[in-house]
Amino acid sequence: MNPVRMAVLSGAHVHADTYVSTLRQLPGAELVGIWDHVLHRGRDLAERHGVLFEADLDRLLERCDGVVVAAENSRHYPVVLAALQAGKHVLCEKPLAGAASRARDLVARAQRLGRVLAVAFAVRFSPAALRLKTLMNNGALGALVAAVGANCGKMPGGWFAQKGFGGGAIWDHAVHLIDLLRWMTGDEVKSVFARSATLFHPDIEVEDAAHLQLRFSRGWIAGLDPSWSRPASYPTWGGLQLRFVGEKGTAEMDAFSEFVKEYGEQGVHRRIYGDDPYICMVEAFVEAVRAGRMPPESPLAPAEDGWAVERVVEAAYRSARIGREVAL
Amino acid sequence: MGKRAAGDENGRTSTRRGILVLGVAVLGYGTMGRVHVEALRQIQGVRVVGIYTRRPVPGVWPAPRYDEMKPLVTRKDVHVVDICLPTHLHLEAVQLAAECGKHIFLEKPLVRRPEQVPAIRDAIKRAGVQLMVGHVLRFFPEYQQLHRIALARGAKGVAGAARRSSMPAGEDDWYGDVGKSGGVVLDLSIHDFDFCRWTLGPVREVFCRTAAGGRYALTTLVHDNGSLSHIEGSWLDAPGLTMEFELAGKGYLLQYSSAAAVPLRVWTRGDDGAAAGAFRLPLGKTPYQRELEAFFDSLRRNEAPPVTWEAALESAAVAWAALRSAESRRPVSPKEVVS
Repeated sequence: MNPVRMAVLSGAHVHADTYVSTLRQLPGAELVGIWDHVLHRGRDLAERHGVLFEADLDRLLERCDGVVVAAENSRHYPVVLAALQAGKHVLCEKPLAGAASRARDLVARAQRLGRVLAVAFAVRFSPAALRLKTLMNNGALGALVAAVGANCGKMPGGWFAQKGFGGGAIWDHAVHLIDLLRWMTGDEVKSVFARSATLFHPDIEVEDAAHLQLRFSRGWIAGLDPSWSRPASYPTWGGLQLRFVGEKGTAEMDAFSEFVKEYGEQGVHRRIYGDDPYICMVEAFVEAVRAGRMPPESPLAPAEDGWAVERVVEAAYRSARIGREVAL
Repeated sequence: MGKRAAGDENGRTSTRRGILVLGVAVLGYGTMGRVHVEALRQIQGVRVVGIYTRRPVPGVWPAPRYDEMKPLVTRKDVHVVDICLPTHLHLEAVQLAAECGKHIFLEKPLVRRPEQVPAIRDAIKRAGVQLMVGHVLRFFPEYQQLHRIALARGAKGVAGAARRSSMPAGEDDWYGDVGKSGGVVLDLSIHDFDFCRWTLGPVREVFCRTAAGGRYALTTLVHDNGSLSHIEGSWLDAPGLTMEFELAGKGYLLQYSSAAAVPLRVWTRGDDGAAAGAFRLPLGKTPYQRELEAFFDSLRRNEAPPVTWEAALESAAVAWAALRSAESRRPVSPKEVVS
């Protein structure tokens, strides 16, 4: 079986190292190179892992079957577009395009070109999320009443917190929670109310605090906290918790609860054990590239789901701006 | 000789896809027997040939039931015997399996008494079979992480381990009979003895106090490198299992508690409004499946098992020393109990 030839496009995102190291070790994949429009950043990433750096995007695209895009949010659209037009299958960091209209355009193009376009909603691959989805599909909790979710973290800094590049805590974190709710329940968001502020880091251009209230088609409600509210001393980047409340019970997941605490001379760290959802997601994508289509029954998120989430996010920003609930 | 399926000199039969299928006989179908059968059914290239138990359990059986050991163990399509019997029955079952030339997976502890060690050693050495004891903690991802970090930082210091549950239910309450089970020391704390020994090295001295008829124990270990381990074992706790581990080394501290590491918690209510279930869901591949897979892999590669029988003997010796210490009220060296 020939290995699937893969490339990583851009080292902007914090997960770029995970993508590169996973693709280097995966038996069915061959990482042919790394490209980045910021040359020194791409070269550093390539050197760290002993991988070829290629400054010319088109030349790298000629030599691979699939790509993982880890660019700044604002650059997802042009990079994904170039890869699709070169006939490549694409896994793109979330959010897909940072604007619902551009996300819709990418969905349509991937469809027309018959290429896989997936979004990196990696939390779907955590064992807890997979089990919780099964529970929800079986109706274990009875009629759904509400969901409460938190994806709070440290302020990531850099381009994440620059207006034209990242887009703030809602773009960064609410997307995971919105995706999990839609995926686990199969329901659609009907309306959004949101409040946002810059409370913790007055020097940044975007919101670091927010709360979203969603109403779903089947009548249940959800409250989501995507804030960059964890202090610099917090022992890890952040976390993700999600609780469903039903007429017949509750179920609560904590996606990053499996860790050993290590106190060293430099403070405390969490050493995660167990399956890494990012590695599982990259494996699933490599299989999709090999098959040339989205795998059925896989947690790998299709671009349509990325687009749907962006519509909700845009409604949240509009609600925060106008101060009223916004219908979708 | 009748016509037999193609097999190699070890009697393993091959499938059409060329993978060696290992036939497993499970002896005992209590708490651990069921856990093992469930794990075995998840493993590719392995078939549960039969289950030995004297007590038929209602419901659908995952494999044919035998009410005698010998007819099952002697079957030609059995390559591995997985012993999940009460501790006081281990020796007899190991001897039978070894005599029949079968490899052996044995639930911990090795055997009830140190006096039984020569018989075990003779049985497996004479037959030339592999024996692995189920020190399953070595296959828990969290304990593997603790072990890895400890070795990277320098495995020396003070370890604190705890393992607590309610009283386990066994046939004829054999767990509660110290003569059969060895109490919480030999049945439960042995997990932590093995883990501390695996991580911090050989143990030179053991001091132990037991209470509540062997259902509670506090043990202190002194390791050859000067490290100290203290271990709490309890069958007087709430239902479910609580595991805790801490290691304070030079310049670092590692902590783990199973109570905090709960990725998914579910609570449901019956139609009458009363609680129908509140549980922590096991996720992914279980450590029992991992340890069994590791054993089968070692057999296929013709290598020593990942936990050698000598290692299991050293950990059992720590537990026997603890029992003797509790009786004699003095510190005991594991070397005193096993010569």
